[in-house]
Amino acid sequence: MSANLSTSASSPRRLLVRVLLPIVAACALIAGVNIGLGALGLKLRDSCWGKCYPEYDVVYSRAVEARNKGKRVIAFIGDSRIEWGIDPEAVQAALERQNVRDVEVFNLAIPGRNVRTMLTRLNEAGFHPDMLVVGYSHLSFYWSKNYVTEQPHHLSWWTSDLTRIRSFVQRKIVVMPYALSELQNFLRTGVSPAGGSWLDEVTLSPRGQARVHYKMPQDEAVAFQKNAYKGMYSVAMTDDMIAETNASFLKDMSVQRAHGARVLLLKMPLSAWALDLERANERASLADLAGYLKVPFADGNEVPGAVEMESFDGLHLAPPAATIFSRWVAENLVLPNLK
Amino acid sequence: MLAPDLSLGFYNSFYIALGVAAYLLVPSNLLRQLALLVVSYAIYWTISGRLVAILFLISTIDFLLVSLMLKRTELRRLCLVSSIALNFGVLFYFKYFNFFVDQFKLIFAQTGAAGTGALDIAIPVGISFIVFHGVGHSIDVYRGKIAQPRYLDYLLYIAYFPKILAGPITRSVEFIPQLDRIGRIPLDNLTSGAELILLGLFKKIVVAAIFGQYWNELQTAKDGGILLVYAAGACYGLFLLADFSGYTDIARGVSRILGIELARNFDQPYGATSVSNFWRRWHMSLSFWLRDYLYIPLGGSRYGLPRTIFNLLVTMTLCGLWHGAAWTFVLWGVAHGLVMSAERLTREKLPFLKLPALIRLCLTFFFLSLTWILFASPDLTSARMLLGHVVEAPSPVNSQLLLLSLATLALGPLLSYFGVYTRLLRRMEAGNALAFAVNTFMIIAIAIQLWRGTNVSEFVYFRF
Repeated sequence: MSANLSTSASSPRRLLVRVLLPIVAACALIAGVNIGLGALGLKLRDSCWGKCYPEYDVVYSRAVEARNKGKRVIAFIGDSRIEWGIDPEAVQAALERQNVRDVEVFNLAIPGRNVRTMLTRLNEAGFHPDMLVVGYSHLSFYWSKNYVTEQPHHLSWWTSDLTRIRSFVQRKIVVMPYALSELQNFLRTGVSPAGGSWLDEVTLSPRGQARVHYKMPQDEAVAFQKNAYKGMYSVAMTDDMIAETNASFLKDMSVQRAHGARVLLLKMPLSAWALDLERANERASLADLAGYLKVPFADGNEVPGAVEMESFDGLHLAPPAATIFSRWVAENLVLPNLK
Repeated sequence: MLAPDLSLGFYNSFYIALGVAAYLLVPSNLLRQLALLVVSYAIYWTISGRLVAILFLISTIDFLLVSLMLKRTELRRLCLVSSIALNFGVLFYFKYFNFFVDQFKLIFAQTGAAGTGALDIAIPVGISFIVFHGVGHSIDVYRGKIAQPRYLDYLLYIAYFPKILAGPITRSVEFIPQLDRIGRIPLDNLTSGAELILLGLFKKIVVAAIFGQYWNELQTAKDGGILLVYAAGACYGLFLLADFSGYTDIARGVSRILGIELARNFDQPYGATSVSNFWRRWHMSLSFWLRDYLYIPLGGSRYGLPRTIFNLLVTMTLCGLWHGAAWTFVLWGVAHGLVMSAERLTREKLPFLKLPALIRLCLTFFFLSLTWILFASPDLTSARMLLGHVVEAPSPVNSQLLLLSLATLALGPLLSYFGVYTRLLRRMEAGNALAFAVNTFMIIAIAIQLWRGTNVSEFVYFRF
């Protein structure tokens, strides 16, 4: 006999009036306000900005300050692969060697597949650098998260961001390999899914590059990330999801481009195992997307020796490799596209 | 020291959802208990990682000791002592070892000798609560208040996820008999459980955030004299009540939906007219535990006034130390013990000194507010800096501070004393229309607070 809910005559009515109706009423009111403001052309600002990302906001404020001083600003945005793997000082030094001296380079990437969050934030804050280098990843769009609170930022998230909910359901309920990969990670390393203890403290350079060290040995770090990414890629990426992702990219980037920002796409180099995991359609879609957006792009894996670049976990470049790769980005992607 | 990740995010929601689904669907009581046990261990694992083994080992060894206690009567006392020693040994190692090492190091540093190094110890989350549940059960079996339960029941009693992180400390005699009935959930339990969860979220996300913000600003303020100290302490007191009672409401609500009633923890504590009365209303599951398993076994009030005062001081000092291995907590406990002793002394020897209830109410709240500063400060130096404003020369009254002080006085002791909150809750219980309005308001307030990007901090009592 399964658990049963016993009821009295008034029970369903109590549940309806005291719990279900308040939820519906509150959601309707919130949605009404949100839709009403949208119809009036007003947008509720994301008030997390300036509060939720204290370390990153310091770097951001330096970028704004440089812009206000009349410097040309080059900003990198993306996830942890950009955050760890792009050394802004190295990019700036490479540009200075080519006599480009009025430029300030910043790495504004935030870990956690955050391209969408970052773009929204930059647009909402009205910050438009001269050049915006966007770290490309499909995961960034359909699976981004708020780094600090993990809360979606807009009142309308539950109506507008159905893709997020769908992917969550897929990952957690339909696609068990993801849950199994978490279990496997725990059994191998003792790191629980809530995580937090697998990295030493992250320190940000003044221009925003994270200097990070794993607490675990390299082979465990590779196995750990491999499991995690196996789980992520176990989600079926349908054509309409790719189309939705591309549309989102276009929408968010069009604001930046309309304000004169030169947008470039950059895919960070991955080691062999990570390349194997990426599905073929995703590998191809960088070029498709760049063509669709009509922006220059660079695939880090086309850099000679990219697969062998020093990386602690196969996904993120180690600091010496980051410096080498950043120089390559400066000379082959940034410089040719700098006005 | 490693810090546990205490986020109660997607992962735990996922396990809870799975557990509840399994709980509702599985065909027998035994399987339902198993589902709850698996979910409880999974949640503990997501928070504490490998330290989940400690939880399992303590529970299992305790269970074996209590079983042995019942089988071999000549070993009863030894088994009880072993169980208590095991639990408090574990608690001492994880929570207090480094504190005492630090004190020895200070002493040795003063005498010129070298001290020993502290250990890098990761603390299992909720260890104080786990230990108190275990010890309480062993003593209750020893006293014959409850028979030894099945192993599965006992594991679930200790690890039950709604209460493992921060209580309420529910006696096994109250908890375990409910396990036989967990398949039958009245629909009204679902309603009132959901309402409790909503109330808890409102307290945590809205009320605690507001008073926490005031506390953050006031604790580093420069001028304001005694009014500043009072306002800071009062704001922290209201923050802590909203935070901890919010957590308790959520825990009790979740548990009620699962068909298990957990102990109450609060009864309008700021409506207390004495510190002794406050402890009958604040964190009741802890204070009653200390009363039944420490204060009364020490002799309680049975052996004259001096012994009563001694027992009170010991109990309250240990109560302070239970909250954390720091001198701030010890002093907080001692201060409460001293005032409770003074109250006892006055009541027995100087009854004519009894003040009107409203004055006692305000004085009690003022004392509580001052001592919350000790509780909240990371070390004695910080506490001294803030409390030092008490002896500042009087400065012009800051109108904002005055307004905040009056607001805390109204929202804390006065509304509690006059039963406003209790009456509101009672009317909500009786009237669906009022409940609809209040619950809708709370959901909207929570949504706005989350949209504003307010960081929801971890629950304070998860540290203990």
